[in-house]
Amino acid sequence: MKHHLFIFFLVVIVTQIYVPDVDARAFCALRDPIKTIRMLFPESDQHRSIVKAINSDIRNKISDSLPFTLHFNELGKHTLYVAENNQQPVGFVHVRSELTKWGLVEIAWALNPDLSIRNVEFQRCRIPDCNGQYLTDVLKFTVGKSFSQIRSLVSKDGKALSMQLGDNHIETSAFILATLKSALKTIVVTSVAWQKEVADINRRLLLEETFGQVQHLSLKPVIISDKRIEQLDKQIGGSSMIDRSSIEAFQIINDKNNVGTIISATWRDGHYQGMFNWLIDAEGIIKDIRPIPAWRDAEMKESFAEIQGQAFHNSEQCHTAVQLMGFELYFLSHHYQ
Amino acid sequence: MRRKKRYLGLIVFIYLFIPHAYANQIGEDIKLANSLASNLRWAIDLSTRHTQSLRGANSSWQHVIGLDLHKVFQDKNGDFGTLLFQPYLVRLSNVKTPPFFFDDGDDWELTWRMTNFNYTGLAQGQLNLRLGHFEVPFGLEQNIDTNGTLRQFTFPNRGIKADWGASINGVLEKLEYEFAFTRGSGVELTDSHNPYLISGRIGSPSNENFIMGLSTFFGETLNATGTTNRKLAAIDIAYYVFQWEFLMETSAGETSDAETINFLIEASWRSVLEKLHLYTQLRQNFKKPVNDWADSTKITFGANYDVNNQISVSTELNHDIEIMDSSSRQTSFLVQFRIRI
Repeated sequence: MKHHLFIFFLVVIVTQIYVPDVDARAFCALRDPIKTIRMLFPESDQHRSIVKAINSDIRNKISDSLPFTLHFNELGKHTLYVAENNQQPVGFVHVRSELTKWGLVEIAWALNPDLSIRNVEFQRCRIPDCNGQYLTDVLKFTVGKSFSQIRSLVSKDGKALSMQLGDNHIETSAFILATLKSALKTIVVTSVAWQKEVADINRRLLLEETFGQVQHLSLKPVIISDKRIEQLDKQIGGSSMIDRSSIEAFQIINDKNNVGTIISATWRDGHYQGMFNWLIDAEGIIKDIRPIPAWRDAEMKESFAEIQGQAFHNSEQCHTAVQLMGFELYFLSHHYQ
Repeated sequence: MRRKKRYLGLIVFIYLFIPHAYANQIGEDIKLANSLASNLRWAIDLSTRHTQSLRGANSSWQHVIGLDLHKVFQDKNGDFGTLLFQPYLVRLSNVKTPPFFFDDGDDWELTWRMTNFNYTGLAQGQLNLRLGHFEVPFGLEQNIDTNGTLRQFTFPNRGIKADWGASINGVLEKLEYEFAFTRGSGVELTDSHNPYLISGRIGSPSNENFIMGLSTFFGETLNATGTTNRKLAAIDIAYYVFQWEFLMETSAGETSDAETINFLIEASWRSVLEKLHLYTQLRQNFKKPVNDWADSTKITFGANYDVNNQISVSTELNHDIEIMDSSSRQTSFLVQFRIRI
């Protein structure tokens, strides 16, 4: 019997050296939040699960964006649910546990495709009035809000509500802070761990809005060569807010004709980071720009709206950082012509 | 023959997954291989359990190694099914009263925990069809996972925890339900003595703080020498407030033509991060074979501590306060180490 125990403890030691992404609970305990999905997206007629491992790399990326990050208990495999209506994505449901002084609260966040908050439901909350005043307050501060808008409700160090909220909601402030932190983590985790899926869905939605049905369209990847990047850097001086490694560009082909380009890219300006989908037509005119997460504020939205309908074929045309980004993406993705 | 049937699930598993892995290697059908690998969770589950009788000084061991696999299948219409696949090898050592499907108390067996496919493509989770080996839908066990844990509820009253068969199940806005027709043979799939079981539970939503359910259970369940006739109806209640959990289950009916009434109450507390779980249970069973009622009462104190996502340690002290046969009153101490990698 000592032999059996020795092997068992050897396994224990090995697992402490190599920490795999496993869940503490047996998988028969997993339950899809199907009722919650139906409640948060009443128009949905189906959902699609996408399981991903949330590991320490993702945990580190979250701490780049927020003054707090995931607890180690939050690592492991997690599911993002895509709510669909007639096979069209209408949004995401992401359930996360958040620590409160009364224990863990499971919060189901309904996200719009641009990752702004659409709705929220407490899937498991052991506070008796959780679905009363607590839920009312949380809905008020989160629904329809983007990452930046929710971030502004939390202090810089993430340890308190902003002054105004803290004063007005003394009774529930600790709970509201926990849920706001959960909302911020949910948006960042979704955009990082499910980046490809979120980008694909937003790309598809943008094409559908622009061209109607997309079945007749095909996307041809555009290869961006190092030589092309060198040529660009000579023109703009090598500085860029765009993460070049993140650029994904596709020619849009309609009945063998090139009708434009759709480009995904992440960018960062020190205070804000996110991903864009840019739609540029065959003449190089910028038709649409959609951010993920949603716009930081109206000013930012306006600055990008101003360049829609314009074309930037050389850097000398550019007078703002936004225009320069437009030129940069045009230059890198339109060299096939 | 019995063992051949137990390995049937392993053969199905190899058929499902290995050929597609090969297809991936030779560059054919990569999409299918990728789809089989997607939405897949799996873990190796190991545990070792020691039981020490404090009366008579008997001690026994149970070692378990198993595969825990969970996969969601989907097509262009979204998710349409969930596969659970849990073959576990169990080794007993010096167990005085082993489950009847073991040859003796120093035996090993391949056993099946939850191994089933739940088809969810009909009505967005409101009407699903399950096929395979699954937990008999009855009482508290329906909502709270006790597989591989020391903490158990009332399945000893029914002689069966999981069974082979089919069920309909679903989650509606105000209630959850599962009704099953199963073989009645428990761990192994056998028609020996022709057992059968019909069971079901209907309850309020399992994510709320107050949950109530009604269950039924009747049929002939397999035992070591034949079958046992059982008819039971039950009510279960769970109430959660802050870090406290209160559970109650009571059932009444007949076992082998003797009237029976069973009670279980549990109070438990979890730490804020839910790493530590402390609980105490009181069980009472009444039986009336002919004229007089006899009863047994047992109290349990238990604790589980999750060291991290991989390792948990749990312990229990069980004490018979009153038993129907006074010659075998027991007090036992159990400790279990469990690791998932």
